[in-house]
Amino acid sequence: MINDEMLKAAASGANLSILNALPADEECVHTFSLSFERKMRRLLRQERHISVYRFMSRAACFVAAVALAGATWLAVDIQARADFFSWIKENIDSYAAYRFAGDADKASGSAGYGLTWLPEGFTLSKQMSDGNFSSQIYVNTENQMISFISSQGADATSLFIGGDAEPVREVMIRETPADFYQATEPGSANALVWLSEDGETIFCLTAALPEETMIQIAEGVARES
Amino acid sequence: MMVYLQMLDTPEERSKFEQLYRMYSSLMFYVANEVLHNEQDAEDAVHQAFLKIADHMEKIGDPACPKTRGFIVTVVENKAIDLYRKHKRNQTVELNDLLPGIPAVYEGENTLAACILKLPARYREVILLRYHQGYSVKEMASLLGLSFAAASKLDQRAKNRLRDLYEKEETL
Repeated sequence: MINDEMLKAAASGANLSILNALPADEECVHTFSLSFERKMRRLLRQERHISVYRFMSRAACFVAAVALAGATWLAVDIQARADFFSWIKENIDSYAAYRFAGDADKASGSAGYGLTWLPEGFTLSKQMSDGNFSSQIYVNTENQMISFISSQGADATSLFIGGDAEPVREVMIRETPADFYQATEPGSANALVWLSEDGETIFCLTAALPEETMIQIAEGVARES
Repeated sequence: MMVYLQMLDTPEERSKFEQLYRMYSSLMFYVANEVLHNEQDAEDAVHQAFLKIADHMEKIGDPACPKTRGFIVTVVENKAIDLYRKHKRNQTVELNDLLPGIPAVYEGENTLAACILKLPARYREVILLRYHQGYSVKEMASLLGLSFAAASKLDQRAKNRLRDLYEKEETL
């Protein structure tokens, strides 16, 4: 009579024998076709997004959270690499994802960007910088906040924006196209997302301020000396 | 409005799925090509296998452990045989159930393990999934793309065939 314990032990031994019958990894190198690589890139991308959803559904997984007036910033540990370098925008359900798809080693220099113009009354409250990522929060006496982040792919692989925003609108920051997310809830922050001229750095500005004011702030973004 | 920033990019933080892809894609191709003897078809089988693996990531532990390696091999062998069946539509299901898998010989003293390796690929996969990987019939049905009824039937057939083989070996 075969019982489950016997089956488990035997299946383990059989599994090992099958593995032993296979060549070592270094002996079965195969160069996959471009169409296969494309399909797999798509699948890997989907898997990353699924991972992010899992993270998003479990608040305990967030490694940093800074509550803003009507907006929340969350930094999530996760990775992404690919064999080309760029920021790619994708729509995932109710979220827009700006995903860094590139070789981090090719990204050079520090983000090192800051705001050169602010609406009257705002002063720097908090600043965080870590390699190619920097975050600045400005507040005024009425407790309004402006948050500005700049990030290169070497550190930040994806930026997700979603929630109570209207459909994205393209606006111009001087000659650079940008995505403007108008919040639908009163008092909630709007968001403005754009790339640096060289395409290496992504910027995200959030504040409960009118579109024109946010664009004006964005026009003042410059490399810090 | 919510803004999420994903950060950090080190090999240690790569997703488990990407680790599996990097570690096993060539081995998976080897297994699929052993069944199909056609590179294009073998790549298709590897892709199909990854689609299924992606749906069952929660069952996978350490990507580098033998159990995971065995799971990957089982899934890609199954997908390669599925593809082989599609190309040979004139054959009956019963005949296809008898197709052999990756040849392997057990050199230990466990007769039942040796019998598992003598099973046709379809049955061997079922036994490995059920009793080594810890899959329920329902989970196995999802992984193999079968209805619950078909998976139950396959499970029963596999155990019956194994019992027959084992009894023969025991009487020798």
